[in-house]
Amino acid sequence: MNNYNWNNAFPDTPKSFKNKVSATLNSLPDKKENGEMENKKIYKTGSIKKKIIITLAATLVIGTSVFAAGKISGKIYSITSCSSSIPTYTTIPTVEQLKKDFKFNPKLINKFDNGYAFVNGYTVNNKGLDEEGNSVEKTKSLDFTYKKGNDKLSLYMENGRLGERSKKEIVIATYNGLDLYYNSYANKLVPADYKLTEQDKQDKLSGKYVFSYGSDKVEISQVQSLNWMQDGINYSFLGINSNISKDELVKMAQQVITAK
Amino acid sequence: MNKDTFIDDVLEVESTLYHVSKSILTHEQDCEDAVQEAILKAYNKLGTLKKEQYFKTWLVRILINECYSLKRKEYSQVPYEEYFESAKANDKENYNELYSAIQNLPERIRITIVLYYVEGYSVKEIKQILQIPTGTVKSRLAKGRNLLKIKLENMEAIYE
Repeated sequence: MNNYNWNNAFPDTPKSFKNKVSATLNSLPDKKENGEMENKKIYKTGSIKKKIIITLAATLVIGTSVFAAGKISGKIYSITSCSSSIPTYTTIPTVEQLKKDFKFNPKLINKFDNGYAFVNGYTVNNKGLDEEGNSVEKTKSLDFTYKKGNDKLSLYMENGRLGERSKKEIVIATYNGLDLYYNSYANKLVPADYKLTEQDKQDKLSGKYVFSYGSDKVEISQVQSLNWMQDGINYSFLGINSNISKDELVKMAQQVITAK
Repeated sequence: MNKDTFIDDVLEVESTLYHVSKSILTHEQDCEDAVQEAILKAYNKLGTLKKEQYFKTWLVRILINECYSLKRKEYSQVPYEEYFESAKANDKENYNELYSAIQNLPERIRITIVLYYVEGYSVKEIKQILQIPTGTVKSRLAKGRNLLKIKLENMEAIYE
């Protein structure tokens, strides 16, 4: 009985069935999220994969303890990032499409010279919150996934920037007058209600781990980021357990910067 | 479990949902209706799911209930002409022998076989999903295996 190819026993799931599932999922009402963090007040939603990316992106923007003065009223103490788990784009969007959907116009790369190719793109809505949780600033960003073999990279493009750059980021190159900031660290992603152990507190102080919140279980990842500002748009490459080198990331950034 | 995790988890089992609904219902449209209803019910009852690790079996159980509920209405609601047209259209599809043999199994045996062999559930999990005793799962699997063997041998004989 095991000789039969059971995996292919059924015909492929029909498109109409998939559409019905997608439409149903898209129509689900929001439920109250439990993403409040004990000490950082960052609220997050998104798929598990997205959570890691968004959490890390938010961490990068906020840094460890440095927060910017809000442009509208109070200071930004936390950032909320929300994205659907269903991609907005499954093929690289056109400039016109982005102008229409986002009202900003980032540089678009379908395939990088080193082989990383566009897989999909998600919309991310970000809010900067003050100490009391009031929204003081909003941005809308794009999160593109690129893949080369099994290696994945995220290119996060934000219309503006919430908060200030982390002091841990250092300029590793300057290209066309733009500073490229790099940061690499081990990230410990933990559930929203996770309480830091004594060891965790030590690891946090020693800089062994940066803590991010919002996963279902504890996950440790090696993170690399490279970011820069160009024409008011904040670009950020994010590699989670990626094999890509720092130099290669710089070359990819140069390709984005010079793209038309 | 939040909404986004729920969406991810449902998408992860999308093909299972199709296989399960197709094992009970004839028409594609009914499968779609059943899965829609099951997703909405699961989302509303999410608070009753005690452990997230059981999400998949829990959702499949809800879907099976929806399928049986629709099944009860299926024949009474579909006009004869529509039913025969749909059945004819299904006959034209060039399904593989194994699929045809599975679809010809008696319904209760079919779903058990699909859960075990196609979806890889253990006897214990199937017992929980179908809410039947372990012995019944095993006997249905044994009957299913015998029936499939006979059907597939007959098919080979026909094609030879």
